[in-house]
Amino acid sequence: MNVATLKTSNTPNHLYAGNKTSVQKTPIENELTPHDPPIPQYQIIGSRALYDLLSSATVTVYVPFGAKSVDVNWADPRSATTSNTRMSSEQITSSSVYHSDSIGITLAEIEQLPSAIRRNELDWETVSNSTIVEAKTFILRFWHLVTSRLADWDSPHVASDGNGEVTFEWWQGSHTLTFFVQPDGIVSCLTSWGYHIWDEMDEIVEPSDDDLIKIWSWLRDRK
Amino acid sequence: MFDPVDDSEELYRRVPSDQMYFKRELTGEIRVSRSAFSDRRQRPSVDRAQLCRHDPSWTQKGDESAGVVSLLTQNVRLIGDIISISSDGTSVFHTVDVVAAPEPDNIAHAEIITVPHLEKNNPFKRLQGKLAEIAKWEILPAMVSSEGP
Repeated sequence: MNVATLKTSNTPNHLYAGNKTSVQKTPIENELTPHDPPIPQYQIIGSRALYDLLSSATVTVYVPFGAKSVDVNWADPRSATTSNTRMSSEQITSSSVYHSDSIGITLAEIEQLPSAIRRNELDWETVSNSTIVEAKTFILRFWHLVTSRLADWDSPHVASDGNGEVTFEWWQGSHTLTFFVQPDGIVSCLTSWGYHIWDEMDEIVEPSDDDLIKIWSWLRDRK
Repeated sequence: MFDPVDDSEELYRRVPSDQMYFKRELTGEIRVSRSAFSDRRQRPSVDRAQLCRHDPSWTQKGDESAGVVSLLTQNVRLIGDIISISSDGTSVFHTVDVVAAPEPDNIAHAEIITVPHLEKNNPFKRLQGKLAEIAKWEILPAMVSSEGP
């Protein structure tokens, strides 16, 4: 995960994403004290970044793996927020249309699925609370498996298939990976790498930890 | 009997402007999610372009924020046979087709169907995924088009 931890500044910052440990800090990082909390004012210009406000004095910008850079303009008053303000669920939802590597946003999106189905007035089965729990449990397990091996994590697209399941989708070139979490907690996985619906698609039900690691490697090999 | 849908016909599918249906990739590409082809009856609705003046905004149905994707009928049919397992354990082959299904307020309406109709959801999941993969944007949803590249 590329993370640049910054303190507020009135000047624009240009953050570079290099390898997974790349960090660039602003020159004023050590000038802040707990007794003089800044009011982080932030806006991320560009479509490739997501952000989390993690504490009263720190804004952490997640720089997606593969992104060259992210421009941050701290002074734009339209995007001002106070140090104690967490992003609302709706703001997280709006942001998550973009690529991210934040597991927190994924968890928030899962929570919001029932309201998303209601919002769209869809003739779909809603996603039950127990399915939400199962989906969060699965994605945390998968995320932990991937990141504990120091591999890069990308957030999935979170949705439902309309039948009460939670779906997680990733795309990488011609490779598509989808997990389905059923209301009974059963997880299945579809991989696709070409046009043909049988010869170039495969399905695994209840993938093991080893399966999950192999699947992730298969997906990421398409970078 | 309605007129058959020709292989060369373009089809439009509405994609609401909601994050449930698409995602922007690192490359800037807006990916269509399989959820854009969800349908409880397992017969996703489309509009035939030649019956709506090849105007994808027809398929927005007045919702200007919605996106629209297109698919070529031939490519839908070429997805190939879907196999399901019947209750007696035998394999059943289902072809994918596009059939006209005009409605009083939408003469262009058609449906993507399987023949025989799929009773189970699992094989339909594969079809959904393939439809999303071959879909191309005609109109981007307002949620992403207003955000710029």
